[in-house]
Amino acid sequence: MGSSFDNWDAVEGAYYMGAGTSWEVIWTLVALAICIIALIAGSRHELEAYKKVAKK
Amino acid sequence: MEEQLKELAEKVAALESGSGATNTMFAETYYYLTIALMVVIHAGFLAYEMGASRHKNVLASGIKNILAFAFVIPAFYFIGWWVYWAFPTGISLSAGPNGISGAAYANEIALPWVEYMGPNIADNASGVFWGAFALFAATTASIFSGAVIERIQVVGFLILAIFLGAIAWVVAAAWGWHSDGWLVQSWGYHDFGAAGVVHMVAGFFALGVLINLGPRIGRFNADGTGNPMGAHNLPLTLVGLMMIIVGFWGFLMACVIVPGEAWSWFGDKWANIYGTPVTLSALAFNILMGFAGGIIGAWMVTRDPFWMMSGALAGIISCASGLDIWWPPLALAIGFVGGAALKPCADFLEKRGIDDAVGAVTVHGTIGIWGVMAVGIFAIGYPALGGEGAPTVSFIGQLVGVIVMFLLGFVPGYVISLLLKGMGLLRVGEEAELAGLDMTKVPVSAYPEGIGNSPAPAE
Repeated sequence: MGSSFDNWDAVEGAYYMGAGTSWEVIWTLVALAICIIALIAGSRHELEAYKKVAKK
Repeated sequence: MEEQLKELAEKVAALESGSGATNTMFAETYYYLTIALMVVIHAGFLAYEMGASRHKNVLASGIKNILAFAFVIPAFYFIGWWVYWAFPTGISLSAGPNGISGAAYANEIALPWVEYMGPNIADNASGVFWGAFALFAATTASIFSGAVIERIQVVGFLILAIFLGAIAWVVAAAWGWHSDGWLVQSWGYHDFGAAGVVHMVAGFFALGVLINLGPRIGRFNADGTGNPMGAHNLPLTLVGLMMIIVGFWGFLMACVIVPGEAWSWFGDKWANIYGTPVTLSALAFNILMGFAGGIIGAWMVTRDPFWMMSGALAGIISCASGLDIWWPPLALAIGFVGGAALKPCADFLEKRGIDDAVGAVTVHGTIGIWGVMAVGIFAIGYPALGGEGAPTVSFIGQLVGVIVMFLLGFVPGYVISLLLKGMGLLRVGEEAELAGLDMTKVPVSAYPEGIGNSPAPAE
């Protein structure tokens, strides 16, 4: 990761960290995984809460 | 033919003049609007802190917040603006390589009695720049304000807020948020959205004060375990937090330099405060992704709306230093880590007897460290300044920045609060704290008719 250039004068177009490298895909997958895992864990928590109330 | 050419030249000159005037008006309006947006931060802090207070201290907390704003603004006019321009190269007050720093330069543009510090038909920039920085200053004071609610004396608090807003964070900004700053020039320190120079300094200033101030009566048991002191109006606190986030759009917008003016870095593109390119689109991508990641992280760990909204703030602060250079999915991941880390970090402080009423040390101080270091981990090698041979971002450079920001916050917070404690100006009396600060010193009541059930709706 890090910079692919050492002088800003040479920069045209995309300049973000990892531009044009496989890091774009890797971090997209990581971000996607975070969202999906959060939803699964959230659903479990929610359903458990409903079960607890139903048992009372 | 000659007449036609002359006419054409006059038209071109008129167009150029009109275009220049339009750019100047745009630049002035741009920064003017950031000021209005940043005032929303303070509306948010007001709601946040009053909501987080117990019923008996609501208005006293609000008064403290309102007065912090009122005193930090003139203090920044009197001294803060001068400090920002005088100190970038360190305590030598010498001029830096860009020629826009040092005592002589600051004397020329930022002393309270020079022509640039008032209405001036030839200067459309100084007032709005000063205004935006004054709001940054007031924001640092408000960050610290929430941590100390319900037991600090107003004047003692204001002395601390003035020092933080007009000196401590300004020195940090001069060193790390200025193209001549020694942290930038020597270490390649990169802190676009001020995770270090604003958030860390304010958060650790609060920690220094909290050590001397002590916890609220009843907050901890004799065995060190904590008792929750819940917000009297959590919905108000949540709305306040969202308003702070709205205001942060103005804060971050003000970290950008408009093109095309004599003081601009470029004629045709936006720049950050260090003079390297940025776009508002970059900010839109990364603020929103960091914001979302912070909420998701805090939700997964706590399921608590207070921490989720604090997580939103933490997500933005986590991404703040590199908002100009992150790949948006990475910004979400960085924000997620910040949001998830919040509650465990707050618990760590609580176990050590620190009563931070709103989690300010954690949200701004601890997460500010993560924000600065994330750049040192993921953005190594980026040129920190424009031009050939510019210093580059490094892990060590960011670490040096973290240490400096911690010290610039913690040391003055601890020392000044210790002095105030010695003078009897820090903490309210025990009887007043138990009775409630509203009843003790506020001439009006927050809820004169109490807070009962809502009346039945009309038929």
